[in-house]
Amino acid sequence: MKQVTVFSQMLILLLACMLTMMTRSTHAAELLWVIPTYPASEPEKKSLIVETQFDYHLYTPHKGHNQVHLVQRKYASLDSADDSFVSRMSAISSVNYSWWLDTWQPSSKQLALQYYQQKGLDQPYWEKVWREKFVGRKIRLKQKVIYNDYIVMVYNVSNPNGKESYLDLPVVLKKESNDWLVSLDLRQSPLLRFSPWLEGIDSEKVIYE
Amino acid sequence: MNNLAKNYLSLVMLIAISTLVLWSSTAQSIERKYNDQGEKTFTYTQEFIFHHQKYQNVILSDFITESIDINNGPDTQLVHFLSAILADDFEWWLSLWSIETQQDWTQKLAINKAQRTFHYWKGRFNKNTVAQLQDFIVLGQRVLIGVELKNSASEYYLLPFTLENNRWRIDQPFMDSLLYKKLKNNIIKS
Repeated sequence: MKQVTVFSQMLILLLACMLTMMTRSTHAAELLWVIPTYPASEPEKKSLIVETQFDYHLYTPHKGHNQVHLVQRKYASLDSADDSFVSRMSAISSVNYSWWLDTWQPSSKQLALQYYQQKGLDQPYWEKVWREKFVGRKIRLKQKVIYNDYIVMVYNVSNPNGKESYLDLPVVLKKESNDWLVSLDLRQSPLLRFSPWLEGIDSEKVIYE
Repeated sequence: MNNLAKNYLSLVMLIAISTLVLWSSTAQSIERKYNDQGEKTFTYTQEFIFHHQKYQNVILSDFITESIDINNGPDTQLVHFLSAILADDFEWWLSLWSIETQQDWTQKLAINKAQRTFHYWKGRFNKNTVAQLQDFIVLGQRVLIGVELKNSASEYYLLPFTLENNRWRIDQPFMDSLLYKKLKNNIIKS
């Protein structure tokens, strides 16, 4: 009887071991959505770290210089990033679609218009958005960021009551043929995606599984 | 000093003064309007988790003679890639690269980028070359296959594949990324 008990215990232990091994094996296979066609070892989980450093220069407007003063088109200029930013905001706030188009860097304009066309975001759509979200609102310049050849102007469009809205927005400008024009060149840059100047962060880590 | 030299000197001084005035007015304009918060640094760290499998002594021999439009996995697609080289079939070989790669090469038609790359591969792989599979790496939505091509010397290639319309295609732009270069170094050293 004692021998039978020992045998049963050994059998249970063996089954437990087999079950554990099967679970591990199944677990490894389950992790992968694609497997090799030819004989290969079990998958080994590894990681790789890629670190990228971005250096930029930050300016904030002095008190009294953050309110954006809109201009008529005949007084507008694209000579500096500040002037171009005012032009862009003025074009939007005066619901002037053709002026708005003229503030784009040509390559970025082409990219933007292609994308907008795919999404059905045509001229009437933008004019409606601008009337609802910009016309009659206060626009405040929050920060100016210089990064390589680009200048990022960070601004806030007020709520209808004149108070700052919760969202600060960036517009990226680049000098081309003597004009500072709106650029989408940084659209995939982590620097713009994380906009570290907003919260004053100096690092960010993302894990991709 | 003759008149010509005097005029030249005046012109140089005028340009220097204008530049200085322009720079000074720009600097003053920034100073007048903004508080300088100084240089900042943002460090972006990406940790990529991947799964690595080593092939167990797999020497490729199942090459085919013409294109088959089928999804049998990325390593089978590598066999098709080598088969297209053996068959000297440029169009078939080109069709195994991603759309983005092909578009990029179309733009570089003047330098014959696609044909040059095809000839590069023909120089690396022929009927006498021993092709041994080494690594199978799953990295997000990509699979990278490591293969050793043995001619008089051995060379290691790590080809990244992505799924496009349910077909595995080689992604040349990814091979230019920092992530790819680091991963290749990491695999070679492991």
